[in-house]
Amino acid sequence: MTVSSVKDYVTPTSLAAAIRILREGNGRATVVAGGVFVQQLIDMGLLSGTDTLVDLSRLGLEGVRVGNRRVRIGAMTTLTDLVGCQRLSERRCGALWDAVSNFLPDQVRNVATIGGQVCSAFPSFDLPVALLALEAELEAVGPAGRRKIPLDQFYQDYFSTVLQVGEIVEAVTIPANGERSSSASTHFKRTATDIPLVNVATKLVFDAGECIRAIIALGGVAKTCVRLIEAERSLANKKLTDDVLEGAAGKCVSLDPPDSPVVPSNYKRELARVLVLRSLRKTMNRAGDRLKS
Amino acid sequence: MRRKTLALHVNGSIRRVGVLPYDSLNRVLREYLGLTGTKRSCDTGGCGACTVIVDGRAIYSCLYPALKARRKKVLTIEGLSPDKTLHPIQRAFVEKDAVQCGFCIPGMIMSAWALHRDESGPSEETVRRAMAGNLCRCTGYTKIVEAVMIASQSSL
Repeated sequence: MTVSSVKDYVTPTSLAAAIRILREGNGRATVVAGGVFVQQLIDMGLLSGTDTLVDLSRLGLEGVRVGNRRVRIGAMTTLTDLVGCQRLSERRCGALWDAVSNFLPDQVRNVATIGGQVCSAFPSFDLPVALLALEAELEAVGPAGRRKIPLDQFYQDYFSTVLQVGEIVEAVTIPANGERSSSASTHFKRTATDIPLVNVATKLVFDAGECIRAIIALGGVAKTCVRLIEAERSLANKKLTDDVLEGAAGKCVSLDPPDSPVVPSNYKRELARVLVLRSLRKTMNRAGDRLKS
Repeated sequence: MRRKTLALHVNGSIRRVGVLPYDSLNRVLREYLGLTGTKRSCDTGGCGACTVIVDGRAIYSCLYPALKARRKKVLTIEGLSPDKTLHPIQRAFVEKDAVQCGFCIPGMIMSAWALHRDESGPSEETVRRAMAGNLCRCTGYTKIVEAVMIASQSSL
């Protein structure tokens, strides 16, 4: 039978109220987005530092809006609502499209939110890895006002982000210039309802038919999701032959994933290498005639 | 511990119940409302036996905070056959011999209900994908998939 320190569950109807409750909670108020992660922590007795649950579902933080330069996705948008979203198509936004299209099971996808996936700071969730490759930025708001946080500066440690007490993420934005880049993401997990062991997302940016920049993001191989910078540099301004791609994927040898109860770290390293190669090839196929072969 | 009142809209009617702030929807349905058709198995979002419908979508009730269900419409297996006649999906499961011990079945049927709400005549691949969040240790899934596919041919 679940016993918990949680004393209250509130669903504020204004952003100001939500921020105030979180600030006054002084670290003992925890945000509920989709609720999947938090409820599981409670049932496992792992949320002993929380007095108040603050549900963000009545703040109007759902929805996708396309601006001139960036696409803005409300933090409480569910992953199912992102599937089939015209503005987040396979061609323009492949990494995110893959992450939501391949997300199983439906029972979690229907309630999980993009903000929850990002802010849980779980190293092997799919969305943050895809968003890292897409050079996402977070729009945060808190007692000190609003600020933008690049996703690659957001994570500090397992379950730990740079958000201050009272701050929440309102939206995730990604560049709108889908035509000048191509991306993909993939993962490996044992069963449909498992959390992935390793996640990979890749983006290639083109200019006049050449790849000028690459982004390679990984999850499940460190205490936060990470970019493989050395591999990215090895692809910039290069002709993407098999040798070059394999060389980039080979940089996974420098990863130092912690041993997990499921697989040893050298298995994860090899898994990462294979998935990086697959993701890069899928990214290139998606690029089609935008990339000269 | 002060309980919070939850006016839960479940299977077409409002049920008022006092809940703890950290109760899951699964606990409220089974232990407070006596709706034990929904099962509790892994309690960690891995098996699907707890699957119910909230606002038309399949969810894991073991991972859904009860108080999140305020202002939402919940449908459980009991709600599919309120007058005790079998729902077409239930009939399909019987016709196809898709039930062995029965424990996974309410969850399977609710996931199938959600699939048929969004899509008529789903392919086998679509069925298997939509039902991927429901595990069965008895049947090997073949008959369950067949049942879900023929259910699409009945009027729902």
